[in-house]
Amino acid sequence: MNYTIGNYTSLAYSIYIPVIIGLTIWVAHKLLSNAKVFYTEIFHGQIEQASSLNRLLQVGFYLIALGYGFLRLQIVPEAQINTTGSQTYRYIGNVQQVIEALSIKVGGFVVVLGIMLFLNLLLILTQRSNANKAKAAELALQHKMAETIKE
Amino acid sequence: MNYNIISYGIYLLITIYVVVVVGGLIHKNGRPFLINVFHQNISLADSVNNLLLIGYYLFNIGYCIISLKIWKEIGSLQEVTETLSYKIGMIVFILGLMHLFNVLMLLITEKKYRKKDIQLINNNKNQ
Repeated sequence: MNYTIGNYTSLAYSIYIPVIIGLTIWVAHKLLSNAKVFYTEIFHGQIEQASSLNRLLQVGFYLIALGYGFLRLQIVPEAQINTTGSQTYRYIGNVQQVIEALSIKVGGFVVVLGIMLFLNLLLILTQRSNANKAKAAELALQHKMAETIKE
Repeated sequence: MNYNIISYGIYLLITIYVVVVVGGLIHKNGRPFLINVFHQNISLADSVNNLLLIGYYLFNIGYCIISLKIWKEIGSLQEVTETLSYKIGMIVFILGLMHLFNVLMLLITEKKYRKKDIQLINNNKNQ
C-alpha cells in the first residue's frame, strides 16, 4: 500500500484512539462510583464481596469496550474503477473526509458503550431484586423458627 | 527486519501484558466468591483459584501465540497500526466476553448454593 500525497488516515487514527480510550475510562469510572451503593445493599454490607464484584464487572467493561473499539479502527479505503478500467483506492484526502469517517467510527463506538451501560444497569437491578427476595425469605424463616421455639 | 517482525514483537508484548494483568485482577477479586461457594474452606478455595489462574494463562497465551500464524504481509507503518489494533482488539474482546461469561456463571452458582442452604435449613427444621 503506497502513500498518496495528503493521506489523512493517520490523522484520523490519532484522533480516534485517544477519544475511545478517554470515553471508556470516563464511563467505567462513572459506573464504578455509582454502582457501589447498589452492591453494598445487595450483599448486605459485605463490603469485600461487593467491591470485588464491582471490580470484576468493571474489568469486563474495559475489555469489551476497548477490544471493540480497537477492532473496528481500520478505515477501509473506497475502491473506485477508473475510466480505463483499472481499480484505484480513494484514501482520505482532506479534513472534511476525516470528520465524516470519524463520525461513523466514534458514533458507533459511543452507541455500543451506551448499550453496555444499560446492560450493566439491568444486571444490577435484577441482582438487587433477587437479593431482596432472598432476604425476605430468610426473614420469614427466622420468624417461623422463633414461633416454633415459643410453642 | 521487516514490518511483520516488529508487529509480532509489539503484539506479543501487549497481549501477554494484558492477559497477565487481567488474570491478576480476576484472581484477586474472584477469591471471596470462591470462598463463599466452598463454605469458608479457604485452603480449598485458594488452590482451586490458583489452578484456574494457571489454566487461564496457558489457554490465553497459547491462543495469542497460535494466532501469529495467520497474519498477512505488512508493508507500511499505517498497516502496522491497523493490523495490530485489529488483532489486539480481537484478543481483548474475546477475553472480555469470556470474563463476563465467567462472572455470570459465578453469580448463578452462588445463587444455587444459597438456595440449597436455605432448603437444608428448612429440612432440618421440619424433622
